[in-house]
Amino acid sequence: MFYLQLEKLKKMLNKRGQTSEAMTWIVATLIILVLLGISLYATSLLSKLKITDYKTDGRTQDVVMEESLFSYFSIEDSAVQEKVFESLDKMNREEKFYEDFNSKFQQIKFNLEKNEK
Amino acid sequence: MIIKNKHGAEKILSIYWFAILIIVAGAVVAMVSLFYGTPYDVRDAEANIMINKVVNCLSEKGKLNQELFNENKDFNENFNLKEKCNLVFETELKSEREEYFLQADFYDLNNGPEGVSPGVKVFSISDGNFNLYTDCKIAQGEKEYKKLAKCVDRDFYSLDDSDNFYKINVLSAVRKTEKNVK
Repeated sequence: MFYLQLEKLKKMLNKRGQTSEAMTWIVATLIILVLLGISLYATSLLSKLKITDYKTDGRTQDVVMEESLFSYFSIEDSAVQEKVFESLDKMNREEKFYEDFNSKFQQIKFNLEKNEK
Repeated sequence: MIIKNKHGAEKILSIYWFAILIIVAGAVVAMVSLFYGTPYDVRDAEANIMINKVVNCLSEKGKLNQELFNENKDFNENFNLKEKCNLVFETELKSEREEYFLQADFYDLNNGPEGVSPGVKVFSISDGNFNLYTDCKIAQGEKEYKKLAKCVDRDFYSLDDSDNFYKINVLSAVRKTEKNVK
């Protein structure tokens, strides 16, 4: 009688052990699938960032701004020159230029003064 | 009996591992093809390069190109932007429509009511597919319209021979969605 009860208990424990082992595998599989899903989602997000931004892509020269600066230095009327500078400065504040406005301004000014001498 | 059972469990386990391996390998292949299958969107750079080219062609060292004016010192209506600026609008795409649009608007800042800003539009030249201009207006600042043409517009200042001051707005639009957007 005692032997039969022991066998029953053994079988029950064995079943529980099998269930918990199966649960471990199911959870492990789910973790793998979730990680793969996250990786796929991250890849799709990264692929959307494949856009070359001309403005921030290591620009060292801005032809459009330089042209405006050359014309600024060509103006003889100081009142007009002042107004144009205000406008250029406003554009600089609005970050419409692709390179440093102030350093380019000084550089062109220096070169023009050097050429005049 | 126990030995047979063990063999069965091992078989199931190896099938499971094989299935997991296939899933992981499939996911890696999907990730690689997803990333490398998406083209780089270089239309912004292309539009900016075209603007640089047009600016260099319309103005040199702060002075407007002489060919922009006729003998009477008025703007030359026959100025061909594409031809004079050596622009090539042909693409490798087999579509019949042109993929580019360029426009330069000239604002006279000398006779305007407020001096330098905003000025009066006195002349405009354009070339390419004009339909892209409407794309620019629709897609202004909206990221979700990536299938429409990419537009960039920039302002610069220049002088004519008589030292009249102009603000020039150059608009450049590039479509080429097939090549740049998936």
